[in-house]
Amino acid sequence: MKKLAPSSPRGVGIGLRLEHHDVILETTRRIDWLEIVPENFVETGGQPRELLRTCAKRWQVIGHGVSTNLGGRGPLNVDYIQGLKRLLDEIDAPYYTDHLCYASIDGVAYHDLLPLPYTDEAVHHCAARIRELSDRLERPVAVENISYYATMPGSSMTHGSFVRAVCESADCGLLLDVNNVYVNACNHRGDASEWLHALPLERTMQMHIAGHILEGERIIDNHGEPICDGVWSLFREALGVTGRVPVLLEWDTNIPSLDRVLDEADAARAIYDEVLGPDAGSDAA
Amino acid sequence: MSLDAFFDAMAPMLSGRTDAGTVVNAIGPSDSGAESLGFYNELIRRNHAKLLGDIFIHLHGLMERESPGTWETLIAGYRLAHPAAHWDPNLYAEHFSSYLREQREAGAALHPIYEELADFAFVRQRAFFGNQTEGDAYEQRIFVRQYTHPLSDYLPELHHNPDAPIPAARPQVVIVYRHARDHSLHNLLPTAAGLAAVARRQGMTQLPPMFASLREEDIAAADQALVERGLFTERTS
Repeated sequence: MKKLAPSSPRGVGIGLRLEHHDVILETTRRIDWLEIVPENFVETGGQPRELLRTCAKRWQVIGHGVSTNLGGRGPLNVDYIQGLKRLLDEIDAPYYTDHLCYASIDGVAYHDLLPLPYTDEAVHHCAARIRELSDRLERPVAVENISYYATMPGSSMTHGSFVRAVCESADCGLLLDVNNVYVNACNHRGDASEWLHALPLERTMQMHIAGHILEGERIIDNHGEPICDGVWSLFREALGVTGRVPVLLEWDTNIPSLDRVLDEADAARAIYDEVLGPDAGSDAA
Repeated sequence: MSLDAFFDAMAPMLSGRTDAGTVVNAIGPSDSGAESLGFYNELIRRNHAKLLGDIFIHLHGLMERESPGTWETLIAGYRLAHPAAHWDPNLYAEHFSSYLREQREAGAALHPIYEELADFAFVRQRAFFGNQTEGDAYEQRIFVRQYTHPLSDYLPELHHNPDAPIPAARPQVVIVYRHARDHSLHNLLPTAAGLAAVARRQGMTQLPPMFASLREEDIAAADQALVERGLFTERTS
């Protein structure tokens, strides 16, 4: 398994979002680290790229992609991955994360995170592509357990078994998205704690927590609401197993003020410290 | 069922061309039911509608005002005609202007300012995010456009007043650019000498006949003025 690099972030980070570009450098509140969506920065210039350079001098920055299409058909997009590597080198990111899913088919991009059938073929297919991505980026890769609203036809194993098999076959890390575990358990009528422990938690390199919204009988993973009690509880349970891994508060739609996001990050940090004890190395302002 | 068969069955549904029932007929049922399987078509529809709505926020508002319901019809048609083909979601909007023009030319009751506003919004976004190249070559932060309506006046007017009437046609050449030093976004109505200076900067050594009457010193002065406006940096060659 790929071990966390010594330079990995610590504590609770937030996403660098366009809505906060004007204020993030001014805040005196605690931000432990930042996560970016690299697709917003690869092959771009101007103010966003300039801000990223400045942020990377002040905070550790991790790239969390949405379009490397790890489960997709056809070769990986090598041109994009070369640009991604240049970006990750520039911000000195110790590892890279993306989603265990597909996002395009035969060149058509759906701009969503789409579940695969949970089969042995898909396990080997994804694992080979994760290894190739890690080699091309020259850094460890962790994959996120996605939220999914339908089990795909042909599936022969559970979501948790699939994620475990891929991570073990690829020898990669897990980006444990606690909100996704909660959303999946609710939508598929399961027990959230059981769904959590079915994942390869011992491979957790990083964690995500976020809010969601109820639409009819379905919970939508929209990252646009405050975190609910059920996710906080599951976060607490997950920390007890994973120990001290970097945690990222995601707030990507209905984005409120930076202060409101940081209030939520503070709440996460309080739980983090309560479960694991204060981390002397994570008190970067 | 192979992964290839899975992708073959899913692709048309995810593009909005078939429904979940067709997928089930091809590769079998989902344990979650056809409605949940089909929800992915709806999710992608929402994503792409949001992408267009965010980039074309003023155009969307104007269309809703002038011809309610048209926007939804157009973005549904655009999804089928121009599937997203780039990892950068913002580039999904790239062909929307030409799509609007094609629809108008095919008989749809669309005001020509719509397609121009779409192009204007798209190039403003590209100019803001575009990669900055070194030297005097073509730059992705600079766009020169000729519109039949005075968009550089109308867009800010529409921003402050959603009821602002559509202006009469009045041709306008506009340069949309990101400031070379402070990265702010600007529109500039260039002089003929300014346009010639831009053409020179972007590698055109032989200027078109329309610039024949310009003196070299006028072009040089215009170039210097554009440096001061932040369109260019000082010449490197």
